[in-house]
Amino acid sequence: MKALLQIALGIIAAIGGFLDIGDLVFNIQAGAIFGYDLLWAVLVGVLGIGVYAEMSGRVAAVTKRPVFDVIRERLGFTAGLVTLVASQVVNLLTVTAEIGGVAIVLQLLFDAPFSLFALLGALGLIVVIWVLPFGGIERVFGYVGLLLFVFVAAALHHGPDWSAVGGGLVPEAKSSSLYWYFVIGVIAAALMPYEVYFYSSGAVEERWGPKDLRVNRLNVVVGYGVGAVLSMALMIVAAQLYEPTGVDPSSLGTVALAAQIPFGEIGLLVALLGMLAAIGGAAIDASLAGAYNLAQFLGWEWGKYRRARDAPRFTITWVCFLLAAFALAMTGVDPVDVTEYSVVFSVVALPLTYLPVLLIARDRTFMGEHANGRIATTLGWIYLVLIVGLAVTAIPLLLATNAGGG
Amino acid sequence: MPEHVGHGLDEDRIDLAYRVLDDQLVDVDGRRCGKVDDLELTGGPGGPLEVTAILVGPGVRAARIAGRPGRWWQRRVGPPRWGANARRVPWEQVEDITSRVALRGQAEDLGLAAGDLELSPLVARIPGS
Repeated sequence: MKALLQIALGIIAAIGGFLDIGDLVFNIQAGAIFGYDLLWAVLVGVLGIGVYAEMSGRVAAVTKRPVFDVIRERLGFTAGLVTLVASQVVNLLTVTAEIGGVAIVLQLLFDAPFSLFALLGALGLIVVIWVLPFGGIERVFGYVGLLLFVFVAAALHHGPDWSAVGGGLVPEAKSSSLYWYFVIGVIAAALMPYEVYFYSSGAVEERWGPKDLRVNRLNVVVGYGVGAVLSMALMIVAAQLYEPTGVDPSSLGTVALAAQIPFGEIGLLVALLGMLAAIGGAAIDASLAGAYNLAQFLGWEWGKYRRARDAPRFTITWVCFLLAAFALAMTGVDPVDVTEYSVVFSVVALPLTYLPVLLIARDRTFMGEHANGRIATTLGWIYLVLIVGLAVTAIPLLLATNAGGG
Repeated sequence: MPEHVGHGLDEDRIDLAYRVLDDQLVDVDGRRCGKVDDLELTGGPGGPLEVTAILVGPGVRAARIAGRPGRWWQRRVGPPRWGANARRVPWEQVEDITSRVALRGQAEDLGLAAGDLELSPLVARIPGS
């Protein structure tokens, strides 16, 4: 019974932990500009992150190796180093965007300057990571993140045009570069690489073994499945409220407004608290991912399950990530812009992250009977090809569309 | 757990590049203490080669980066100086090779994880560490 409860709690945390500022920004904007047309891109992205999260969790449970261990081991030192640099740049941009997002949400809740809230946000998150154990962090932010279901309620409240929803789930090619910029953004926002770094390291933190493979699969299917529902709800709400009026929701305030319009002040408050948990949780995940990556690449002791004094370089690294992100957020860059850049650049770090995971997950030498079946390997290769395609087109599209600004 | 399956590692044969190079080192207490940055092979052309040591450290790693960035990095780190930016762990210290390379001694005694040992007292001053 206790074991069942543990599993349930873990899954609930996974549901709440899926969305971050990138998902909020890209899904709302995509809905406001293209209505229901991009719902299919959510499915493509979520299936991809599901496939690779399942694989990296399984590899970690069976071999005790998190992703960056595998990257260095399979790619070797030089290619591994290239992957490390790319992923750390993306991680830092991600933490910066999330810290900025936390400050903006706090500003919407209370009246005080951005810089004060960015500082409080960064310091608050450092204290939270320092004080709470790994499982505690995941749960607190996961549970409060469930408040984002208010967007599902909002979408249902307005009565979605179900035939348009059905139509949006069918992929469609258009000749507009803005359309393709948002296709890539929506897919990439779901595929953010810090999620697999964090997830696989978490499996080692929680001492998973082969007996936890069922939990791994359930986590991924239920967690990301519901994550897809939340992402689609955001897009649908924007299609209902913003597309007809031509509102461009380029701020987090417009995201929260989508819950205020149907449900008033209460809706706004619930949405803001949910966003705060989702964005704050993502800042923690991404800064820990930065520390996991560096420690695993260089062989340092790491993990929240170690005392801070026993993994000092790991500890100093995640603190530095949050402080550096705070400093970057204070330069006056728009957090929504940083979000878009981090999401689009993340696509470039993805192929080198996922290739070694796929190579080791299908390798019976390491994985024995838990190696990939035919479905996982086929999906893995399909997504690898897709991601390489996205990586090649992402930067030109970013420049051509002026980061979605038209 | 498939610790010893397949062609990577049997009784009398180890695929060094596949199962040892770039793997995680852990000491006798289970502490992570660096990576297998390089291997020292002893012998000559035409004769048998023997693995005599695991090499660890920034001085060793720098030599593995190719091209101009590699040369730049090597100038910064300097050539390998044993006991300083490079450590030599005799192969006899290897206890077991699974998904990680387990060593018989403690990290301190092998000169490994020096950075963590150095910074530990600093972090230990903070409450709750």
